[in-house]
Amino acid sequence: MAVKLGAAALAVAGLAAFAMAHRPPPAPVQPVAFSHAHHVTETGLDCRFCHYAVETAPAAGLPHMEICAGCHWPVETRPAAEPLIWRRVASLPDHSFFDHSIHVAGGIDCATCHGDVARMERVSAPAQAWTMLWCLECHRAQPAQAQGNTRLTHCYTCHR
Amino acid sequence: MNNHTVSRRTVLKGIAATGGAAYVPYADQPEGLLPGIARHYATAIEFQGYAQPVLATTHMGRPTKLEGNPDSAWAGGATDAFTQAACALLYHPERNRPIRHNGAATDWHAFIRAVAQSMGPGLRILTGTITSPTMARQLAAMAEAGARWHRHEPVENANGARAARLAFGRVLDTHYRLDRARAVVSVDEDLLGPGPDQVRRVRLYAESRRAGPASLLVAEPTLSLTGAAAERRLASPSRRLPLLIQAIAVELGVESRHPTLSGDEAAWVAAAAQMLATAAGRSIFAAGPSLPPESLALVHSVNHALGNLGRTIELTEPVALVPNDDDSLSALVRDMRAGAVETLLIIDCNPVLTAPADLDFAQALARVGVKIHAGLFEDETAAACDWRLPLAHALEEWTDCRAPDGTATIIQPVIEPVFGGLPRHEILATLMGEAGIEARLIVQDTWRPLLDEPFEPMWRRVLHQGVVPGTEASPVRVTPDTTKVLSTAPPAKPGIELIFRPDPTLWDGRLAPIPWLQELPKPLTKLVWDSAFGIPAKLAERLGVADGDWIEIAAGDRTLSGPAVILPGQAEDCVTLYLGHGGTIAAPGATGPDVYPLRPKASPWARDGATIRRTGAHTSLAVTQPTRDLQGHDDIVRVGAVPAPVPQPSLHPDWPYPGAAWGMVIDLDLCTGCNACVVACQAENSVPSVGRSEAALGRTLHWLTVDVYHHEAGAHFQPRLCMHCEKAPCEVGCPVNATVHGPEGLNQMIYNRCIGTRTCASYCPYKVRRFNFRDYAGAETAWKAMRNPEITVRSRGVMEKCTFCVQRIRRVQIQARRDRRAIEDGEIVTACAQACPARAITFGDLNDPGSRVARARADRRNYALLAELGTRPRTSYLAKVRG
Repeated sequence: MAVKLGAAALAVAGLAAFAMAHRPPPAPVQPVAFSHAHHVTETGLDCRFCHYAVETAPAAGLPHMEICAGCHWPVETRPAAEPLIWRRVASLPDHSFFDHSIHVAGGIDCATCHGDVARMERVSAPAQAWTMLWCLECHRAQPAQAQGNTRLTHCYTCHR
Repeated sequence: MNNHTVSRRTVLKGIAATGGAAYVPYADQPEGLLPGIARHYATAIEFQGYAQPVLATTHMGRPTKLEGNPDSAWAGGATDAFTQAACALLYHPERNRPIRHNGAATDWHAFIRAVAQSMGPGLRILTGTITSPTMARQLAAMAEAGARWHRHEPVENANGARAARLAFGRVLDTHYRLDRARAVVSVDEDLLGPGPDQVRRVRLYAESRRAGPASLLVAEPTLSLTGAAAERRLASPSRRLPLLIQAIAVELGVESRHPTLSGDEAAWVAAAAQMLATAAGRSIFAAGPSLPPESLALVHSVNHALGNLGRTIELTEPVALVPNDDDSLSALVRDMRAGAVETLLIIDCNPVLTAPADLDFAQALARVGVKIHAGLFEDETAAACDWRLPLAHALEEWTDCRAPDGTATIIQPVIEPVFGGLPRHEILATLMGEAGIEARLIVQDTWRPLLDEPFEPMWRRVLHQGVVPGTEASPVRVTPDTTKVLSTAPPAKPGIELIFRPDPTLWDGRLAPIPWLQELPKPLTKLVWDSAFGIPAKLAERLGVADGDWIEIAAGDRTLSGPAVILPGQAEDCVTLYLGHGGTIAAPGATGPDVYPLRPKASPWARDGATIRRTGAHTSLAVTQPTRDLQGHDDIVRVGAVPAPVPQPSLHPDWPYPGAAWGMVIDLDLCTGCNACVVACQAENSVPSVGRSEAALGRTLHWLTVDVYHHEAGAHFQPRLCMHCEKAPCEVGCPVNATVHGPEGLNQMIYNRCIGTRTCASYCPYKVRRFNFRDYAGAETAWKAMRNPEITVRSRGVMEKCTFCVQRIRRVQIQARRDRRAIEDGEIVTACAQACPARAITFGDLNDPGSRVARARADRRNYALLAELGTRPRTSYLAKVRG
């Protein structure tokens, strides 16, 4: 029994240590060596140029090949495009329903959640883990909350 | 486009290589597509050949849900239960594939070669009802080359067509303008029941109820949804019904020979005749397909004498194609036996199962040279054919179709054929030697001369709207020839009368593969997965039979056994048999017996002279509502005046609602029990079916059910869903806070917190919480594709229930907030409210005193279910109006 308890305590301690020392996994290898640093910082592209739906839809959208080709290939010599199969660097659980458009409309900067992607050669998950607590800290700080309206902090805000 | 696409295999391989967490953007993205935002396409699905105009909701190219097309005057934005289940048919994992010849898989080119020389008098095409202008054009072209078209529809109004020939000299369609009628008398015509025209009829019926008192009198052998809604109903065997019509005609001076009636019959006839006469010009006298043509012709004469024709009853040229022969299938079978049919193409039709047994279709089919079957499933007819072609679903192909009011819809595909189904127009074109022409071009060829110039923009416009303006059938002014003599009904044989009816959830059997519809409780018996012979209580007593006891029915030289169920409101010595069961394509677990073998060609709706006996066997029937009467609890379904509510004290403080407070009001006076809301809720919230054995244990997952309570005149229906109580017992009961009260009044169910104690369900006085006893959602089938991506898939061990469609609330809230505007009343519509043809369900913000839901709640008819418990539900009901 004592052994079991000890093991449990160790496991809990281990989890806590893991939570405090959260380090994002190394950036995965993507189908093309796409550099955000080059496209954003050096070239000066806006995030929305490629992530075209971020202001209008729940998902920000990844660029379809025509967007890439628009800069990289003149129409006459453009090859038939094949879709790229990207690896996700950060994902939300299936029971959380995040809407990019409402957060951007509320003035949240991309970097708040995604980190300093503009300087990344290879994109990796943000240093800040997307925990529910982290989301809630921001939601709790909203003015509606201070006025006694809990519409941003109740379960159905994000879960359905 | 094709040179840009990558094979599905490549993408799947890529996804596997990335460990599942992949993101594959389009190479060439459809214009205007936004990730996570549903797109809607105006199109239609077919039911029994008639269009049901819809807006198809698609997520990333997958249709997930259908809504009624608000631009269609026929649909008015509503749908029926069958339409709501259409996606389940589209993705059905058992769908026909691939092309087969004598059992071996083959390809389209082999088929083209095989049928290249078949055009000519030896070619016959057998289909169900056809309203498609393109199909009509192709069949006409084939007729010129000698081929002939035949029609077989197991549930059809053949006598109605014969009656129109008698009365008007030609086939005409009858349209009931229920909205204009103040009095309706129906003799076995199920005006509100399932069928291709249900959506319009229920909508118009509700309009007439809203406009003020309207009377409905019904005489029928077995209770229907129309009978359930009637204020006065006579349970009468089929053989007596022509006499009732004759007697009404006598009372109204159209007929002179008095029939001999019983006291009950005479009283009903007197009331019906008086009502029809009082509301002359604003009344409807309707009679159903079970009546002989002579009686139906007499009904036309009575309506003419009352001045109803052209007012409450409109006659139009037929919307559907009329076959040459009065009995089209018999003519075909005759030719098949004579060896005159070399090639037979059967499209979307299952005559081997559903043709009258005395025709012996299967035996005649064996004499045909080349037998081709094109269908969604490998049914009995496919099994008897050499060629089996998978047919495209209406959501996968270009075609066109007309709604029962005649309005045409161009049907556009919203997805590539999921299982390689072939478009019907391309199959016909192949037989005409025009293989390789795309269905879209064939359909365009039909419409090019019919649409205004220039064609392209007009074509785009009608596609966008989903209806072709100006195509509704226009009323014709005709006078019935009243000199026709009434045939005297043959003397009834003693014994039991068998009544044949389409199954209320499976129709003639074409919907039997859909588990959702197998598990959709039958409106009047609440049976799921099973079917039973409906018998009257007196007969049950005489035989010593209770629900589930088996009886054997003998009629002619055939016998059939199955369980019995006692039907309230059943005419004496009448036994109701439901079509649509027992086919090979029925979803696994379905137990209903096939009653087609007992159905005679001469009288497909009733057959007398049968005998029954108890066999001694017993089945425990799967029923979702075991008690189907109120047992004196008249406060559950209120009729007439509602007493003032007594305020109930509570120890719990009131909740503040600084923003919106969502609420729902259901008008029981308008609910006809059609079940559209139930399937709409399943489709919207991806509610799985649980199967027969689980359903029999009471484990169905419906978030919304419609309760039935039988009473002397008919039945009450009451949709029941989460009441989102102000003082919710479930919230107090849950030990882990998995169900909590939201700031807008929603009773929130949090799946990830739920540990499955089921305390909430036992605390809930309304019994609206559903538990996932097994991993019902988990099966990896093509059905996964129709899940709504805006909600969570519930796993085993988790409670679930109605959320007031929170995903729809959030979507509108987010849009409105982004646009910095207020939410308009009526902008948020729950799935049940959107589907309801009667518009009986109102949803909105109770904090806005001007909202429709707040006004409905202020109505004198408003009451809460089990108000004495002090739960203060935010779903409330409007009492029925006393007739």
